[in-house]
Parts: sequence; C-alpha cells; structure tokens
Amino acid sequence: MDASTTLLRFPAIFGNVTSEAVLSVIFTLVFIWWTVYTLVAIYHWFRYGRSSWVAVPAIALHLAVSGGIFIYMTSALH
Amino acid sequence: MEDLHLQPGEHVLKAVRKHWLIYVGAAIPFAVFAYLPVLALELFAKSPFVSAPWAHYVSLENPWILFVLGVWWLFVWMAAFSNFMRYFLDVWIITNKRIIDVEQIDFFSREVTSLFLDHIEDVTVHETGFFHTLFGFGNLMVQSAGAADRTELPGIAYPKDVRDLLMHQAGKFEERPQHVIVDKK
Repeated sequence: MDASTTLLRFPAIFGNVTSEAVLSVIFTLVFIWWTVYTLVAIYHWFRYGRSSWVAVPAIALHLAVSGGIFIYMTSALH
Repeated sequence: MEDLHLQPGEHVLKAVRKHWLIYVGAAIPFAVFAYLPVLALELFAKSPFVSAPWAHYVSLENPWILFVLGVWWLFVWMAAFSNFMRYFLDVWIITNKRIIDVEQIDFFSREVTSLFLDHIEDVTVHETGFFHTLFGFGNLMVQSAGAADRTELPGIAYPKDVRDLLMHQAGKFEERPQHVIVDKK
C-alpha cells in the first residue's frame, strides 16, 4: 500500500463507503454546480453584454481557468 | 442590446462604466481568499504541530487536501468572475435622448432606469482623493427636474468628459423652439 492510498483511506466511521465513491459524489455535485453557473453566466454575457467584444474572451477565460483548476484538483487522484 | 428598446431616431453616443481601478480594488479580496489556504499550509509547516503523527495529512502531498484546495479555488474563481460580470454589465448608456442606467445587481436581477436629457437640471462631478485625481475617475451626479430625482454613477472614468457630453446633449433640447399649447375652450 503506497502513501497516496493510505492518505485516501477513510476512517472506519464510514463503514463500507470507499473514498473513491465519496470523491465521485463530491466531484459530481461540484461539477453540476459549475456547469449551471457557467451556463447562466454565458446567458448573461450574450443577452446583456450589449454585443461587446469582451463577452467571448471573458467566457473563454472562465472556461480556461476553471479547466485548469479541475485538472489541478484531480491531478493526484487516480 | 436585447434588453434595451431605443426609440425611433435614438442612437447610442457612449457607454460608461466604472473605472478599471475600481474593479481591481474589488478583486483584491478574492486574491486574498485564494491565497488563504496556501498561507495556512505554509504556516502549519512552520508550526510545532508539524511533528505530530497526523501532520503528514496536512500537506499538498495529500490528494484530499489538493482536491479541497481545488474546490475552494473554483468557488473563489466563480465569485471573482461574477464580480467582473457585474462590473462589466453595470453600465450607463448615453443616447442622444436619455441616460439609461443599467444596474446589474446579481444573476437574473437587474434594474434599468431612464432619465431623459431634457429633464436634466444639473450635472455634478466629484473627484476627490489622490488616486481619483491621478487616474482620472470620480463620481457623477445628475439632478433632474424633480427635487428627489437624482442619479449617481460612482467611480466612472473621465467624469468631466461625460459631464460635458451630457451638458452638450441637454443643451440641444433648450435650443429647440418650445411648443405653444393653445387652450381651445
């Protein structure tokens, strides 16, 4: 058992629940929240952005930064 | 301009937003929030607790810490992005007939008010403070015919130019011949 497996192991209080299952649930909830937020933000930019050139770069920046954070937060999980 | 319905013969002269420095100032707390967990980890590494048997859990080598840190950063980023969106969508649109004040309060919450230029009585600019003078931003207040009707846009860029534009446009209404109302009884 390597160090990362030890660190991921849950206390006995969770019974048969594995850390992978808990992580999957948390990640799914966060991802759903982020997706809804992103869709609402895109809607606002295109509807109320008054045809500004800033809208597309702003959305692209949001997607790039969020993608980077997602990759970072899951980088150590295998 | 999906939410703005301009009148016939009306066209946009200028869109005015708050100065970029206002946004930078508002973004600083988000940068601090993003750095807080990293600072906490650094402080922990230098604390006496680092020799505790559970100390190895509190480091970036722990995938859970990495995951939680990522979730924290994601929410801080979304809050900062929302803040930028509010900054950008909060705008004054000056047309040849009126000022349209679009206030983006939050998602699905916005307030759009119009002030017709022929109702303007007074436009006041407040530029006080070192940074205001150095970077050229300040508050603009427009007083309309009603005593209580006062519209204010705080922290806009080059408020004197905006004031001149408003006064110039408002002056055009005064130059026009007044309609004579004949009471036919």
